[in-house]
Amino acid sequence: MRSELEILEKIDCYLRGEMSTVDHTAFKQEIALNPELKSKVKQQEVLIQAIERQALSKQIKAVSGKKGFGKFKVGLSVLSIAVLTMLGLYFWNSNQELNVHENQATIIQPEIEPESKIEFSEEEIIEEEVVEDLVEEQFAEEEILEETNTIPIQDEEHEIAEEPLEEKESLVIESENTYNIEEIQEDDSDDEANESRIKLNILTESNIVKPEEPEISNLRLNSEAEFPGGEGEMVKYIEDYLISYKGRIPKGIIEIEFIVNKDGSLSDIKVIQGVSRKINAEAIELVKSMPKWTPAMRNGKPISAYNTIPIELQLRE
Amino acid sequence: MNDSELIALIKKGDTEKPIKLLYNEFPKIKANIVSSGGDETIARQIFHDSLILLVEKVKKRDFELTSKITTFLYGINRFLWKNELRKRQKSIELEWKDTLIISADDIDYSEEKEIRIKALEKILDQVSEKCRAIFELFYFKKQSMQMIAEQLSYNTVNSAKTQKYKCMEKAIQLAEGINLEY
Repeated sequence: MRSELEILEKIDCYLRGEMSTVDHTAFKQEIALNPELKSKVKQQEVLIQAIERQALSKQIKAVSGKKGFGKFKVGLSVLSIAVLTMLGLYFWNSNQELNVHENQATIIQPEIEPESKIEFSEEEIIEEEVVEDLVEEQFAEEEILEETNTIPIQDEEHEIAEEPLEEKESLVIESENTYNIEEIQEDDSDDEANESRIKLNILTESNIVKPEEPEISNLRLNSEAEFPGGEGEMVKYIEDYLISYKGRIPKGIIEIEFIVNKDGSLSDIKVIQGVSRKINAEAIELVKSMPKWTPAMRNGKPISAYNTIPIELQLRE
Repeated sequence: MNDSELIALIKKGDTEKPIKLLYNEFPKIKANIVSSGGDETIARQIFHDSLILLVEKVKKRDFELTSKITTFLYGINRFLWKNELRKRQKSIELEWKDTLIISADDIDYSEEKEIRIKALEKILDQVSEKCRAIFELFYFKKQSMQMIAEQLSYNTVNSAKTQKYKCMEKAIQLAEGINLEY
């Protein structure tokens, strides 16, 4: 080995504590006396740190990819602007990684679904994996797949949100709060603008407070607000909308939040995670253009509830 | 896995499982960051940085855990987020539950060092694939040169070793080029 390389090796041994005590002490003294060597040691130390950090970073990213966006993923694909393929619902479990890079737009579902939504049993998970492969194959043939929508609803026990705030979007405000809203609505029914402002404040408050309360998902006779015809229809709707949008679509995730009122109308539409001003405005238009939703139900009564749609956008120039 | 098992794994260089476990804290941390003006992107970035700092700190010989590991993780995140808010020239009082108040010294954090390491990480992208593989296996996965030589099909352990230092020399040269620009 060249002498330059030997110095590197020596520094390496020193930094890794692989020298004998005698050598270590001697080298330490040498460093103290030789500023050039000192800076070399420092340099190498930082370089090794950078190496370790880069590898660690890779590992963290791999984990974060698997932890992903949730159990469900509604995938929409657009192979080209003209050709469109529906991927359908994907079961998402934390050990599976889903490759949707080629998708132009993907709607991400909340990680923990309320009881009205589809829940899969273990066996079905395996089936789902098979289905996924199938989806990928058929995807290539540009066929439309919707079978996941027909999977029977399972009354499985629910995992309560361990990470409550993450599930903001799947939240439904409890009836107690709805009652408050009603009261205020009656009181202020002569003042439309005022009413909606108050309503909003109340909803916002409960939206923050409620995730702490796990009993939400134990209630029966309850359901979440839904796009008419279900998620599949919503996916198609958004897909169509994006196809007809002629502008440039950047890569990114956009999240739109809105209230589905008791009568199914949508209000307080806002972008909570934006991409660009133009796209944000377009996303609001998209939600505004939607037909009336089926409102969320609590104890068999329709209530106003927050809803969030995350859409993963893929670059389209 | 309890905290001491988790720490033992990290110290051994076996970080994958600990990271997976610690990642479960991300939603709560994200919520904290988002509630004080952040967004998902910055939350994820800060969380990633916090995991790196945590692992680096835990690996130090003199590391001693004085709280729950998750509390320590929250503390690092809070520190990093405060730091970020300062850069954005915003001062928001952060009231996080179950957290430690951590200073830069506690986690050996220095802005200058961070910038330097980030620059070096970019430089590492420029060295050959093979060099990166050797680096990762040796310094991160803590494999022996013997194993590395076999895995990357070098004829002898010595030639693998020489290659490793050549790679290092190359990386240091590239780094010097960068330093001159500053």
